[in-house]
Amino acid sequence: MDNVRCTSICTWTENWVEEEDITTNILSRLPVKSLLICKSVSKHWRRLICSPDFVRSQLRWSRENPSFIFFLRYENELIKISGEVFERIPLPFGQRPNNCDMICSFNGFICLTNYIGQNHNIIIWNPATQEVQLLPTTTLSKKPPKIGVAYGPGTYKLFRIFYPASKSQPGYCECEAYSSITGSWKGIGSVTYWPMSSKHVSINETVYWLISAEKDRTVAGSILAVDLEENFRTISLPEEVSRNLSLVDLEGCLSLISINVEANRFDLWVLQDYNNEAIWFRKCSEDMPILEIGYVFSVVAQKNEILFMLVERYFVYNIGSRTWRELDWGDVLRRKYPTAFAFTESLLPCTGTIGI
Amino acid sequence: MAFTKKVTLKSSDGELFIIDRAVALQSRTIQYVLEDTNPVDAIIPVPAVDARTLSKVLEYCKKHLIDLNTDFEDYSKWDKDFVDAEVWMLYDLIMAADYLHIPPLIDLICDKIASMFKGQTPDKIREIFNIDNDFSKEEEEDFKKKSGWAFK
Repeated sequence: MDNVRCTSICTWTENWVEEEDITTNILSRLPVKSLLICKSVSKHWRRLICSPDFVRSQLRWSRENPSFIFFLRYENELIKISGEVFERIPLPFGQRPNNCDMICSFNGFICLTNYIGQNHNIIIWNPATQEVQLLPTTTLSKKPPKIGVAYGPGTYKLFRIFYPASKSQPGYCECEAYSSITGSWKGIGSVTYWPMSSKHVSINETVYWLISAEKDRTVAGSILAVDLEENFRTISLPEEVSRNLSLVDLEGCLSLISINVEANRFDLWVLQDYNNEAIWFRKCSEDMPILEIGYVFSVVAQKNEILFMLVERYFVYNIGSRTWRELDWGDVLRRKYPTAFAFTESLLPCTGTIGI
Repeated sequence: MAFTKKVTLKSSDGELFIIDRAVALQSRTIQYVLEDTNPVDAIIPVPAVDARTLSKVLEYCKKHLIDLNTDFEDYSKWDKDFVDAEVWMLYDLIMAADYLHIPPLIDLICDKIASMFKGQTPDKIREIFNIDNDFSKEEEEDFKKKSGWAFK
């Protein structure tokens, strides 16, 4: 038996080189931290793991297993919850800046900003590889700017809507865009609509923000969208929505969650056609027993799960199985009012550009 | 009947396996052969797979056919035991699953091997999988300097 075993193992090593597809298939399933270790196993593995094809393949796997990350105000770390696994990730600075904010999570990156005295610093951070990039200086803004990131498989564009310090008209906004391909900012011109906040959804290379209604600036009235080609447009909301609205990405579709507190339920609307006309259809309308426990201060989604964040507790609704569960580790987040995002680990360099 | 209900497979070392057609159809490679030629009572050679590995692959195919109605937990327990094998067996199995094109089996084994890499040092991975270290001492030191945090 020992002889047989020996022959087989020898074949294994020799064939590792030939069976690149199988090796890629196996290694793509590993967390980035394990891959950084695997890079120093052999020259062949190192070459493979560094190749653009592998980086893409790993990202595809990672998207199948997203986690939720939570940005806690006043704390020097993020919290990552993936099923039953809980992890603390230290922020990439020694001393956390006072006005530090987390804007979004995409392709394994986290976008952090710091707005102080009209200056606005923007950082792209890959927590899995611990790489950090400070974007070039932005135009001074009188008020905190709004941000959205559109991205494709190997590129991203950051849109920044700001209030130019050099212009005196109240409410005058301009947009500038940072492209990961050019590595620089470019002015796009003035904009007539601006997002309610930097909270946005990015699907199919397009950013979507909620914008205020004309009659009542405190509620959302429509959606502002911009794509990688810098085409802006607005999309109207369904007529029967409540004041408590959240935009989310559910299984790659732009979706709207409208919570009706009086009726103890939420409606899930999905936009069917992005490009021509906005056609919303109500995918489901579900009872929300959790509303008896408390107030929902934020909603975020990943794949087919919606996370409803209450002050004391966190609940996940699965739209496939139509079931509720309480988030594991939710007690760690009690009364912390974090901002949450869906996160997928990646090996992408912060320049965001691979194989081009 | 236009097709036979039994199919005969011949391993690389000449052993014959007579199995239900439905079992064999889980392999896309065999499915294509059957669709193309529809051999009646013919023997389909499987030149890349030896008898020991083929019998193990067929054990998987039979289980996954018969127990289609078993609930998920029973299934995953069986799968877990199935891949609780030595490295050389997993290697032979994945090569066979790849050749015979049985995607769920490929998935199962890839998951298993990936789990064996997780949390291991480069030395341990090389030892388990018998991979030669072709880096110089200087290169190794350099990696530790650059991404030393990952090794902790």
